[in-house]
Amino acid sequence: MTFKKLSILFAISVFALYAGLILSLFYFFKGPLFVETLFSERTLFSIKISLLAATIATLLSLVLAIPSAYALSRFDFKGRNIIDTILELPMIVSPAALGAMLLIFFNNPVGVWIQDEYAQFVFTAYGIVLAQFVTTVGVAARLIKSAMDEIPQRYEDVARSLGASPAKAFWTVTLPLSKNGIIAASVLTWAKALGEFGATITIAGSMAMKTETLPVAIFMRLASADIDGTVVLILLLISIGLATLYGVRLLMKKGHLSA
Amino acid sequence: MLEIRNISVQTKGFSLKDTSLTVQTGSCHVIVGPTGCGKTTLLEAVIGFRKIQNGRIILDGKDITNLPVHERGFSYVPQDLALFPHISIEENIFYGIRHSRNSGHKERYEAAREVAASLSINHLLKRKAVNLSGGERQRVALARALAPGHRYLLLDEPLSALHEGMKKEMWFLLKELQEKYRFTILMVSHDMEETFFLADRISIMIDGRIHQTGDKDEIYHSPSTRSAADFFGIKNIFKAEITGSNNDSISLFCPELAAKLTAPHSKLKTIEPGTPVSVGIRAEEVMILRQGYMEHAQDNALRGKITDVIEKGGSHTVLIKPEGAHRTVEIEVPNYAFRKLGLEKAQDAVVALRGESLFFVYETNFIN
Repeated sequence: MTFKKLSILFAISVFALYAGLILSLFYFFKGPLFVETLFSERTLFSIKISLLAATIATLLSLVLAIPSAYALSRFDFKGRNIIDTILELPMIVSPAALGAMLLIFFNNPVGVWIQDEYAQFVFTAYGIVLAQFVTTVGVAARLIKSAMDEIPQRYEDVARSLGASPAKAFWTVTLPLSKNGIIAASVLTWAKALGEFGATITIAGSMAMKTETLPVAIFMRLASADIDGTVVLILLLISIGLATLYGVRLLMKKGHLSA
Repeated sequence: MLEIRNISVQTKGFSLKDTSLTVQTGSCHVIVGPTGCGKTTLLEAVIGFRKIQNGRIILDGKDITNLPVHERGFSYVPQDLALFPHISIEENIFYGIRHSRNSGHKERYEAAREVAASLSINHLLKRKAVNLSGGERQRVALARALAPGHRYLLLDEPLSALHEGMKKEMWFLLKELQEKYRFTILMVSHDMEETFFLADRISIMIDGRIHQTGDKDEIYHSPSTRSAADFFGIKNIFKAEITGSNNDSISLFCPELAAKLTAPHSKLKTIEPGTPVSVGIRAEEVMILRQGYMEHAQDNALRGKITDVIEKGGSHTVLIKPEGAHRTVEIEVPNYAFRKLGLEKAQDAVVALRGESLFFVYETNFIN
């Protein structure tokens, strides 16, 4: 067997692993129940809150991640390495631990003051957005930084020599050139936020029609031994996630989203 | 006029020390030196990409040392050209007009279109940079740099990726453009032919220091340091001792050639009998004579034997060892002269190291 065939075989085996897991769901799949569960008020709420929270969390992550990634990619400053390392905190700390950290934060004087003066995060929909934001912002910054690292500084240098201020050089040169990387990072951030469970349930809880996102709903159905309902929600989550990822990939391939 | 006064730049593992340079308005000043000598660092410090530790940069009488890059008024063409790949050629060219503080000036757009026409790239305006050939990319980069109307153009070996034919075409074009738009060029290069073609004045930079600045003739015929002579590939550098002098000439004894030489008095500033010096001559400045023919009419004529002949395409390199010498003299002989003289290895020959062509070099130190 050639090296090429061997490597393709590995790729197929990864696909087979996930495809097998998805296919096994159909053992418990019941058509009428799927329609009934899908169009139930509780599920529709879960879909709505999941999509909305993931989209807001992604946008918030991008607002913070893009300038942070630019700073880390372009400038040498004190503490750069520490910041760069801490971006990986969501990867090394489990989501449940991150959620617990948020819960603890909102129980200290500063957190209590924020909740009293501005917004309630614990056991509210704001908590979902916050949990998803905290678990994704570091990853988003890391992905965007990698995209910006690939863009030669020379473009900005030339732009500045032609009279553009550093900010204008960023907006007119670096940002458009990073577009594909930012889109890819956004999609992955959104997908990660959509599937976020541990931090969300810890800080926002699992109240139906209030803070029950799709992953939380899956856990709740499983906890109450409703396997058929669990399967329906898993298939729903997979469909939404994969359709979005595949759609964006298609658009990028066709050039609609290319630089 | 651009004045660089005693600037020092420290980068990781490299330092540019106490460097001074003056670029006259309207001239083409080329900094030439081997790869890694610091010429790009100097250029980047002038543009403002690199922080300088000390020294001043004065542009037309104004101290611009602490001005940000976008307010300095230098147009810059880097080695890789850095054409913006996400916008059209037209947008590339208009970038400096559109995004600088002087944006929106209609006449600048007109001038930029004229520059594009001068560079024969009007037909490329709607295309993107990725689809252009090497020569087209160079022209677009030049048009983009000239469009904002800056009076100083800083070039970092922008032609190094082109083949010889295209490179020469760009040299002529650059000369024409400079003549037409009257801008000042500060350029770095490691290409000798390019340097001597384009430059009005040349600075030789080696190991982070400028060894010599002068006009073409001075730099070509009289490199002032051993390192500069080595950079030019001059092999004919010989240790010598001053044995005497009068108002017209200096007498030297050169043990390596076992010969007495004379040079015009004006060639050396400090003349002390007994002073050790190094004397050199370019290979193409050495005359090779037929035995007995005009031999006595030439100064510094040395008899010897041809030790080697190397064919180089357009010319031949001939090595001659003078009688009693430890070293050979390298001579560059054009093909027609080589054929006419019928030179062969092991043949007796006479060479003349004409005093007018000799130069003296400092062994290690540099002149700023």
